[in-house]
Amino acid sequence: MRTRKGTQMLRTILARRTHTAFQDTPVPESALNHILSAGMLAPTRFHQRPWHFIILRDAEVKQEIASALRLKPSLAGAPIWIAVVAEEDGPAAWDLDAAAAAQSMLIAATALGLGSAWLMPWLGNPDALGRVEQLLGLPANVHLAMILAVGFPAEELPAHREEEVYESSRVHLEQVRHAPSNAPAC
Amino acid sequence: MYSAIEVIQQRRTLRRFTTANISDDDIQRLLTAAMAAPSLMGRKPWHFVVIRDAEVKKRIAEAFRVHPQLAEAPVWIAFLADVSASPAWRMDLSAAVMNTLLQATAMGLGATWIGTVDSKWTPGQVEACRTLYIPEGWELFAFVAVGKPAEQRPPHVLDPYVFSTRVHEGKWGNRRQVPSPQYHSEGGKQ
Repeated sequence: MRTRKGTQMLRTILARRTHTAFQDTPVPESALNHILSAGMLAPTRFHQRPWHFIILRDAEVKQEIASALRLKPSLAGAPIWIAVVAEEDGPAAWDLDAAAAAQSMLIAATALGLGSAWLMPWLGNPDALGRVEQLLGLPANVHLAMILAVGFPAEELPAHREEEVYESSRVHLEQVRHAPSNAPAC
Repeated sequence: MYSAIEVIQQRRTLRRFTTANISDDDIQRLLTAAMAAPSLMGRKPWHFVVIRDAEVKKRIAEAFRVHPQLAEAPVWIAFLADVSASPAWRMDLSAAVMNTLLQATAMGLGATWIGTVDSKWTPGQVEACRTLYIPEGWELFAFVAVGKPAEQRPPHVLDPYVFSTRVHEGKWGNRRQVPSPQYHSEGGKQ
């Protein structure tokens, strides 16, 4: 059944695009609080809530991290960066909990008319990750999961199109049909 | 588009569903939301299996020892990852599940995330692998049980203590003393 709210939500989800250039206009504190709340309202495994959020506003700090990670310099121009970090919580699910919170925050940011980017350019580069974690002053049991750049976008990007996003080849009914191999792994 | 904030507050984990069926159109919208999630370098490591067969749901639920009521949900969606497609498949799939939960909530449906990723070679994984025909190189990341809710749970109210202790300014340990937003007065006005 198609509901107004459902249509609106899908529109927001499709409107989320990765932005790499931002206006200087500051992000209102009320918007930032909504975004942070959206992160903390995401589900976590066994309700462990392993995440913390570090707000980075200082232009020099952002530039330093951006150059250490070889990010596109314009990303440092986002007025707010949110570093999502998480404490190890027994069975290693902190990365999943952090990612769910991050996505919830991106949807909230989109709903508030803000642009965003999900950054984790240190994959496969533990040295770069270590440098940024040190800069953030993280204790040993706390890991950096991702950085979200948030700000009003320098240019409006068109929303994803529903008919392009939905790929029926990825949807299987009752069993995997068009898999690379014919036999299951077990 | 502000109402997405309201939906985020309304999303709750549900256990009890009615037996009312969920249309293919609804499933397609849920999976569109899933596939609109960001993924590292746009690699989209995800695949989905839509499960309606009651016997299959029951068998898998038993093998994973999840709450039997969850098997009553008319549809389970298995979220699978092609591990070779992306080193960030765990996070990518997590974002896709989150989108699905929010979309379901907005549509008035209940959706519950059943995490399975860290239980390799458990009876549940083996049962699911055989039944769903999961190929070599793919991981069963999670199930999402979807149905019409048979219980109502109030929207989340964020604990102000959690809000104030989890936000740091500039560096770990610089706690930020800001009250959480007052949802009841701001949510859903537009």
